[in-house]
Amino acid sequence: MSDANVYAVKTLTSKEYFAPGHRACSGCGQAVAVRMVQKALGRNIVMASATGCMEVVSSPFPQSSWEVPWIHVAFENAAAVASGIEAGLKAQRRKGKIDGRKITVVAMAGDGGTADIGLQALSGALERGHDFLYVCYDNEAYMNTGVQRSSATPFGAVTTTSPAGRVNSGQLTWKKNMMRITAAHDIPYAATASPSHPLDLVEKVKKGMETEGPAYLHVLSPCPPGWGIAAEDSIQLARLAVETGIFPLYEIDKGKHRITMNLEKLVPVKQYLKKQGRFRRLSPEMMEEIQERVCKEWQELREKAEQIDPSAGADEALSKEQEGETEAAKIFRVKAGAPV
Amino acid sequence: MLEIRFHGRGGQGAVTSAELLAQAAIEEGKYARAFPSFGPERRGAPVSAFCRIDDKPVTLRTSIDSPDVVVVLDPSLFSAVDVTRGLRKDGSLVINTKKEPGRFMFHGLKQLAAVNATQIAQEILNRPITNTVLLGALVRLLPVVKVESLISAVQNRFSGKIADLNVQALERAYEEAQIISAGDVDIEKQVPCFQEKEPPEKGKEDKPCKEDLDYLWTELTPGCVVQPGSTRDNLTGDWRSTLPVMQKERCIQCGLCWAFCPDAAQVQEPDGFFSVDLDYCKGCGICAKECPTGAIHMEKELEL
Amino acid sequence: MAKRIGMEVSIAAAEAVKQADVDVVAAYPITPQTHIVEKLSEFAADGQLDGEYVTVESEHSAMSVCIGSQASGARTFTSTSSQGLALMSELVPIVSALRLPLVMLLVNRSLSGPLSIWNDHSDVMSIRDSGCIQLFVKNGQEVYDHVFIGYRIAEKENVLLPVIINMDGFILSHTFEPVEIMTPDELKGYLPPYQPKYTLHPDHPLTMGAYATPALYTEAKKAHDEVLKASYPSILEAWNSWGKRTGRHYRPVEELFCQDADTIIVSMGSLSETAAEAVKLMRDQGEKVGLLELRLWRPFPFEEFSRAAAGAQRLIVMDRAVSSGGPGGPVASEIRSALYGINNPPRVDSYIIGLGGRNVTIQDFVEMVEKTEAESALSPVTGSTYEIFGAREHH
Ligand SMILES: Cc1ncc(C[n+]2csc(CCOP(=O)(O)OP(=O)(O)O)c2C)c(N)n1
Ligand code: SF4
Ligand code: SF4
Ligand code: SF4
Repeated sequence: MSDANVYAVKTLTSKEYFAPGHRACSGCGQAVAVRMVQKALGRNIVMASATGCMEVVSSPFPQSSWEVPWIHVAFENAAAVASGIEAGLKAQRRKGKIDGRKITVVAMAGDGGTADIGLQALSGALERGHDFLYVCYDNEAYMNTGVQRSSATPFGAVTTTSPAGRVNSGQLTWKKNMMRITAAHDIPYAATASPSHPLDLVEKVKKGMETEGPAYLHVLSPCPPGWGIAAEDSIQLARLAVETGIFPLYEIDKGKHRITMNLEKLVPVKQYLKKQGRFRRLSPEMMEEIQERVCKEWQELREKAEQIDPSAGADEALSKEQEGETEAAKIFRVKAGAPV
Repeated sequence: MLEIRFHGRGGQGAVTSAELLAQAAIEEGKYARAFPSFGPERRGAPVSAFCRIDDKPVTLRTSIDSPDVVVVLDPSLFSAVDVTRGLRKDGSLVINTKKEPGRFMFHGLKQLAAVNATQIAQEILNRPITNTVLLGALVRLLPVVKVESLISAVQNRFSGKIADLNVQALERAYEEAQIISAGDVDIEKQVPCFQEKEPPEKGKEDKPCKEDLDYLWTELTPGCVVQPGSTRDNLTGDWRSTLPVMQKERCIQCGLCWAFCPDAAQVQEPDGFFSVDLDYCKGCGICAKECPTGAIHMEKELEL
Repeated sequence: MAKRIGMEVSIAAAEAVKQADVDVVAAYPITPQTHIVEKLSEFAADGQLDGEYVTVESEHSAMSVCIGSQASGARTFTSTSSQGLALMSELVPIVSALRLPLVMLLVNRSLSGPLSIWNDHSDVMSIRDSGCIQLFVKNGQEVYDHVFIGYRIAEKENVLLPVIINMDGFILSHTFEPVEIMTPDELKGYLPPYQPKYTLHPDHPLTMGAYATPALYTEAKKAHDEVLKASYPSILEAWNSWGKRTGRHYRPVEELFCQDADTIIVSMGSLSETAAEAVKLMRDQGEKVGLLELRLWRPFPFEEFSRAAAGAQRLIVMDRAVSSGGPGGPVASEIRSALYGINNPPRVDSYIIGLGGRNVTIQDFVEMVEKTEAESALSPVTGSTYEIFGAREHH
């Protein structure tokens, strides 16, 4: 492993576009993800945000954490507001009211603002083909209002509206698959990303920006209070979600599936689930059911990736030992989520 | 009527303390109301909760700005929040500290109870949740409610082992709390932690404690537009109860601590090493956990 | 001199939007607004509308797109009706609080249940308190004129508020009538290019839509309220300069025979034209009846209204919406409070008429006047709480 790779995260800009002083919980995985995404986006952007944790922690009047132009309007309409910004800038550019430089328009929302209440606005914006990047920060529940279930809450997870009851325990449904839904709109680019893999994440943000037309990025965002984990564990959990195959890192680039972080062998889901308070009540059968489903979906994903591009699934496995690699270098490579 | 204000951090159970106390009072046939400071405060952020107890029905719904008693759940709050704001003359203070309690006495304070609640909670509950512990110290200082009522409130609220452990923690705090009265210490001879304060002006009790929110309506920008990056004025360093400490010898300057910090609180110095920005670090511990060489460890934040 | 052209009022509205150099239109079709947006799509497809037409998937998104577009500095237009307004209503107080000066044509239609596509004012009354400037117009010419007037008011630096122009569905939107269409020369200079105060642009990053804690929400509301009230002179200015240019003069309150009237009918929107015919008829018969047309609804023109109405013994207020179980029609209730405390206030009678497209005739006005005069002979001070006029009681 080359030195360039070891220090690759330092190639991220030192400029902070998501300023500190925000009021996110200590150890918030979403805040880490936002910070990285903003670094990749840079300054030549305009953003529209949905209501949710990141909006609330970042913008109590008269303060704001945003170093870029940013607007919040309501919970369910980030994609529509971004559509309007894009249309407004386009019209003004054409009429010579502003200069001709390309400005990237970005929408951001939580999983609730994306998969539930905001799904219609998102679908409309994707279908109309606006040139923008939509980033969904998925912490797998409505965290801003105190951990209620969303359609992106995983099977078995306890939330305040999928409580551990005597008859039913935890979320009874399987996580809605936003990647398939957005891809079904035939958009040019969709990808998953995780803050545990900064280089992969940054790469995808940049691709999304360069894409002409709509791009969709689905970012896993561990939430200590909502998931029942220690503040220090959010990045570790994000990494485990990737390594277990629960949250595979891949992209759909002009219809082609590509796994960007290949896994030689899936880490058992148990290792991920047992670390989290929200899964404390999982029965062994449920755990087994989850494991089966993860394997099946991972297999399906691999098939899709290989079918279209046989070389795709052949990336070196993350967990595979590299030749002559020192233990420290390996730890590093895993922690930085460096694509091999 | 007795007015009690609790100060804690989001997630520490300040609201639960207030509710347990109210529940105990109600069980004794008294009247009580408990409520939180309503807002979007996140885990780790300073929060407050309120409790009013009386022999006749309690009707007030305003936040408590001149409490008779202040209870502080976390020692890191002494410097972060003006905990004694508005405390009535001859009021009482209940605090979580491992320090010598005399230094918390100040002119105008009648008495205080001090207990090392974090230690008790860690030992008994295995978590730094200090709310029930401080209730034990509170009832030792002031017979607001009977210990038995409080215990029964805890037992109703929690179940099984959690209830037993909380009762145990409460009882131990009751035993261990140190009580200091005015006159027990010579205030003139020490550097006090808290100062006596002027009571709030009539009609101004309700003002937010942060003066910088005292904008006039004429001073607001059209549409409430805000300048970029201005949360930098909000120093979240006071959320911290643990602090990352770095051993330079082990650091390979990879930058991961910097990349994974949710609060942009790792800053690269000219020599290439990273240092913690104490203004913003919330003490989450991610950097320590993620450092590939183990160069960072977390230490307890120093008390006042 | 501009030529009078026969056209459907909806088409005149679209023509004005095109001429106002609008950058972005976002709207979702709903009867009876459809002809406006269809025409605008046609203009866009033909390249006549130099802007973007965003074919949104709902009214909620229509207003969201408008907010985004207006915030980016583009002059923006939308139009809706009834259920569409109800669906977007979450965003109406937000667009005004953000101080984004878009113009909306609200083609008034009743709110469902039961479903009705026909005209009344129940839709607009639901957003009465949204902090937008709100006007009522009564014919095709006024619709056309007010698109320009609307933008001129909205975009003034000391206003920066959305303007909602209410036009009655079908009765107005679907009527073919003569409208004077202005030439570009005649319009020149009336509507200066939009100079937004704040925009979303990387050259000057800023945050819009921050939330307010209890420490500041009251101040934010007060500031919004004050700016809405203070928009009054700018509204007058926009009307005056339009009057000078076109000879068509508008006032917040239009009076017909009010000066010596014992009984004044108060109405809003297109009903005022029928009411005017009724008043003329009654005058011919020697009745001292007048008509007061409320054109400006927000900010409410208290002074002008009281001055015009104070001399009468009776006001008969026409409401086109029910405030169920409340103190009277929404307009009548406001007028009662507007007159509270003045010396010898007129008796105020509240009639709710023309609901869900029910025809209102000259004869209806005559009946209401006769009925009120008879009742007020018995009790000169207080009027009926309200009456849903014309509801069949028996066969
Ligand atoms: C129309 C509407 N319904 C409900 C709410 C309340 N609400 C605000 S944020 C939120 C949940 C946000 O969840 P998500 O989008 O997953 O983001 P997170 O806070 O978890 O980051 C809810 C339910 C609202 N603001 N608007
Ligand atoms: S609740 Fe979860 S997502 Fe929200 S700020 Fe806290 S850690 Fe972040
Ligand atoms: S993560 Fe550890 S090794 Fe890397 S820069 Fe930080 S302290 Fe040094
Ligand atoms: S503990 Fe480390 S990661 Fe957490 S806020 Fe402080 S510096 Fe950042």
